[in-house]
Amino acid sequence: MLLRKITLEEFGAYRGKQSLDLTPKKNKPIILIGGLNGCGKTTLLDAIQLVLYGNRARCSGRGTKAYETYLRESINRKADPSRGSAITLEFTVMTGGHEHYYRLVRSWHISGKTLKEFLNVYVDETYGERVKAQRSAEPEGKFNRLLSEGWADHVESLLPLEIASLAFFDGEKIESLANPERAASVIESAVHSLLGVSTVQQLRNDLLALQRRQKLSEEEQHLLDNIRAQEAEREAVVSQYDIAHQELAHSRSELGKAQRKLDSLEKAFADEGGDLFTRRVELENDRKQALVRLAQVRTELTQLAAGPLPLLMVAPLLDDVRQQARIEQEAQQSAQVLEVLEERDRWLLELMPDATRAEVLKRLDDDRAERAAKTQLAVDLRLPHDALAQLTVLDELLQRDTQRSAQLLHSAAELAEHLDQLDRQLAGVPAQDKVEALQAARGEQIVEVTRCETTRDRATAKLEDLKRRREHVTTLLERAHKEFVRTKVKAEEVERVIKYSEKARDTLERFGSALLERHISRLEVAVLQSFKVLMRKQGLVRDLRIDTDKFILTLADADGEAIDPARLSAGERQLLAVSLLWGLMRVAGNRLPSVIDTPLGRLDSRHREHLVDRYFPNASDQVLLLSTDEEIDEYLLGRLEKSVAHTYTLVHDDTEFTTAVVEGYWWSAGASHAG
Amino acid sequence: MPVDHVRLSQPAKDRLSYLKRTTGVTQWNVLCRWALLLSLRDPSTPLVKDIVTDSNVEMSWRTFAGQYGDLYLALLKQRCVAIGEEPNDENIQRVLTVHVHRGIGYLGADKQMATVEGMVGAVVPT
Repeated sequence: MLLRKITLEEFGAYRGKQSLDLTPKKNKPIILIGGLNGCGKTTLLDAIQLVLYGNRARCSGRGTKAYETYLRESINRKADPSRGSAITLEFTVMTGGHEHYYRLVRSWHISGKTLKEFLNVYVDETYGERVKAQRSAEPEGKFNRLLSEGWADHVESLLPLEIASLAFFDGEKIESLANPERAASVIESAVHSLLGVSTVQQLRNDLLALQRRQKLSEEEQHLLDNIRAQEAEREAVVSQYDIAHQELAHSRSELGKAQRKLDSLEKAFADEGGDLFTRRVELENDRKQALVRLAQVRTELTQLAAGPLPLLMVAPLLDDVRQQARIEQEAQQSAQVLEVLEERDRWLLELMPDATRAEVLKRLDDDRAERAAKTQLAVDLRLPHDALAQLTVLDELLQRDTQRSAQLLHSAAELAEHLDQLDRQLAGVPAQDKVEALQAARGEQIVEVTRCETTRDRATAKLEDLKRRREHVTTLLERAHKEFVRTKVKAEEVERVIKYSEKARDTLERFGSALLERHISRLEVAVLQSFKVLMRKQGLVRDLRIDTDKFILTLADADGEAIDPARLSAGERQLLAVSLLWGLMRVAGNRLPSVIDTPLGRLDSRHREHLVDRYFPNASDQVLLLSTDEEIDEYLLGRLEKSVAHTYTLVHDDTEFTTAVVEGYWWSAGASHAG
Repeated sequence: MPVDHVRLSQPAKDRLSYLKRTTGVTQWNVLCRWALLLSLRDPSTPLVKDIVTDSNVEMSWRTFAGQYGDLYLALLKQRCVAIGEEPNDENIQRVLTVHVHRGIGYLGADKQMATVEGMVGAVVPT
């Protein structure tokens, strides 16, 4: 980085527009700016920092003031606050092998009661090429809005603030660096930022950030969660399925058990005449009916028995009676006929002639005698005259009753047989209470079997349901798994990124510590060398060590004994500080401009010579040297002159309280202007 | 009317009481008819001649013989004649009493006669 030009407008003591060309020349890195105390040397240093870093700038004039207040107060007292102040810094930066020309304009003014600040960045990216082509090229900066708005970030990549505060130092800073304890923090920050150690650290932090960014996106996380949820659900369903399966098996075996028990109960029941028992009432009803019918039959039989039926027993005797009755009837009839015949014979004899009368009479008498003989009964039972008729009726009745009796007897026999059978069946039916218990048990068992069947059916249904659900979940899971595979690829990638970034971070850490080690040792060498170059007492310090942990600088004498910094004089400590900064810049590679303000305060003439001869020309590619006439005096200017590219003097008008920049130094050309 | 009443002895009555239970025939007269005819079927003459009719079972001839009184009387007369006795009232009464009692004996002794089916079955060809 090379500072090209700085222009101050109404800034601090600087009235109007004041420009300084800061471009160094070949082998002339020094820009010497002279100024008496209070002329604005430090203001110039502040201006450079302010234009670059704005609010963050560590301006010596700001102190603890608010930035806005500082800006307000920085506007020249004679200037119009509504027009305000401006600082323009032009510089070139090597970016990617090309020299870019930057013009940075920071301006601010007061509008009403508020302060408005503007920062405009103009960049010419092709400047370097044109310079190569035609030596003297005019920069053609273009306004870059992006950089203007994001300058605070951009400047960190060009010239980090930490480094700038090292590169731009004044005598006070050197004074503070002379204190070993305060030096440690400067060394630490310098080593870290200037020497790239902080870059390594930054890289590591960036990697960490990358790692943290490498989380799965929300959607992917959602997918994973989804899969996990589904897996959990599937697991749950599967375990439920297993349980249901077991339950089903259990209910089946229960049912089998219950069925077997029922079977055995039924068998026992059948064995005990259970079937018959269930028919007992039926049988008994049958028996009752049969008995009723038998009773009816018997009643009828009894009625028949009360009739003529017993007379059948004496059928032969009745035949005799019939015979007798017939005989008696005939005898009676004969007796009646005989009477009729006697009368008729008498009538007939009277009519007959006597001749035949005797003959006829005799014959008639014989006939009558024969007939009369028929009326003579051997036995006369004096049966009623209707006895035959009675017997005939009796025969008919008996015939009828016999038939009826035969029927009834048949029925009675059948009924008796039926009753017998019923009785046998009833006898087969066991005692009621015994079967009752069995029957109750059987009834309960039937209920139990039904219950078991219901349970099994339910279990089956549940199992089916779970089966369907399991399949459903499995399908969903499969789908989710496909998604998951894609996600997993990503996840693995993430994992890989994390793994490798971890590895890289580890490497970087080792690299960082190695780099630090190396830088420290280089710094030690550089600082020691610088110190030896600057020191009058060459043999005082033999060795210099910087602790890599606490960054405390220790010196050792010829015997290797540590030198207490308190033993060093104030001037020597100042030299040590300068050599520390120099060493740092040398190790960093002289890429940055050094701005040194009042550097020679406490030094004796020998040391001043050393600085002027050995340090200032070699401090960096560009050295802005701000000095009083006492520090770089005529003698020293003579020694320095060959390395000086430009000289300016800050001239203060005591009546106007304004400073103007004049070319030349007090003892060089144009010094006549210098007050 | 040659016979007024039929009377039974005490043993006959006891036996008939038993028969009444077993056969279900609840009328004395019916059982007595059966007894008489059962005895008459046997052509032999009962050995017992004198029956002491000392029970309280007594029925009129009408009650005893019922609808077929003429035939019963004819049978009794016939038996009287058969044994060579004058069928007068006295003899008829005696024959009746003797045969009824012998018949009651037969009736009680025959197991078949212990039921009404047996009784009817004994006379009806099956």
